Amino acid sequence: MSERRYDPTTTEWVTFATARQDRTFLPPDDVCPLDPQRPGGPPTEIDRADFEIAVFDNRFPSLLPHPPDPDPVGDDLLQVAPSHGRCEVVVYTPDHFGSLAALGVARVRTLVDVWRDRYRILGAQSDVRYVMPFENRGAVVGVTLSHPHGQIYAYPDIPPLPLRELGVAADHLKQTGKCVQCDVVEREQRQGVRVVAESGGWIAYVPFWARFPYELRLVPRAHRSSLTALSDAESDGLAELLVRVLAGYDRLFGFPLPYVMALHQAPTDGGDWEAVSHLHVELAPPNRSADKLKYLAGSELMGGAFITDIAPETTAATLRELCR
Amino acid sequence: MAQPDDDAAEGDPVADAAGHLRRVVGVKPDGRRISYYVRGTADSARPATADPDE
Repeated sequence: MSERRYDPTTTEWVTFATARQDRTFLPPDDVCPLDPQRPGGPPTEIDRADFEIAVFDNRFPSLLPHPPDPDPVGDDLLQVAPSHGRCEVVVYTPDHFGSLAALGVARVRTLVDVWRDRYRILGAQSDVRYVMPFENRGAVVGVTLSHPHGQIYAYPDIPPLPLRELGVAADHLKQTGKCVQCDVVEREQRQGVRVVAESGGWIAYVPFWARFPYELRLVPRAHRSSLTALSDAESDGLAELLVRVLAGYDRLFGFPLPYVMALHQAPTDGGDWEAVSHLHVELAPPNRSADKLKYLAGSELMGGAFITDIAPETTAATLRELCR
Repeated sequence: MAQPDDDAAEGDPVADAAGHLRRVVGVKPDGRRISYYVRGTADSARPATADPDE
């Protein structure tokens, strides 16, 4: 079963990909499918070692370039659609051990260029309207392979959260004539108390409205709608800032901090998003202390109303010291 | 109808649009594509087309 079903009560689509139930789950380190193939070793996804970053079609995709016809169970209200799109795996390094931060600024700079190239290639497909690079790090956020890697989903429509952001940005633009992200960055810069680090035209801050205690947002100070709009200096700045904040995360509690990271940028549906899309990176670590996690429970999951345990100004001060 | 994902043939080095990367594409036995990226553009890498669908 590979299809999308529409929720007419929220106007959101849900993707069903039942083959993913059988995907590889936390294999031992010596049989990692993301390691380069070794002579005489078990088969892996990677058949060469002379690369820096590899990108390939996910073996267990949620979205497909040529999806099967959906089950004939839908009607005009309960709609069903083929699961068009792409799911790619981004292997950051041939080395099995390590992390994105440990790769260093030069390799992360290459990753920024790879993200941009995949955005260009995937976004040019007629059935792709939104391209989102992301990384899940740590077993507590559902990682099934420990090898340093991320993913890119190319969706057939704009996912709910970016769509909501873009709608709010359009309203703000209409009311004020300005980009809401630009306004927030200007305000954070002026107040300073939630700013964690800055580099090459980028700023990292704990959002005023942080839903997770150590949440971070990385935003270019100048209005840039997507990765393709960044200058070389701004791409350098993003790489340097990512390494700094991720290294700071790992110093926070003395262990590799789990997180979910994603890039939000302009949709690729042919619309004019330039004025309302402001590229940014969102980082959401689930830990609220070394041994306690922030769970999405009654209020968050059923009400969509987050309750946070620590003031953003407090966590920003802590992270600022760790991300120097 | 989905378009081909890009214009790179198997084993054909392609430079990214900014000219920072060289990409070599492979095809797995099950038909899935894989792109190997390295920094720098070899002389043999042709520039990526402006529209990967063309």
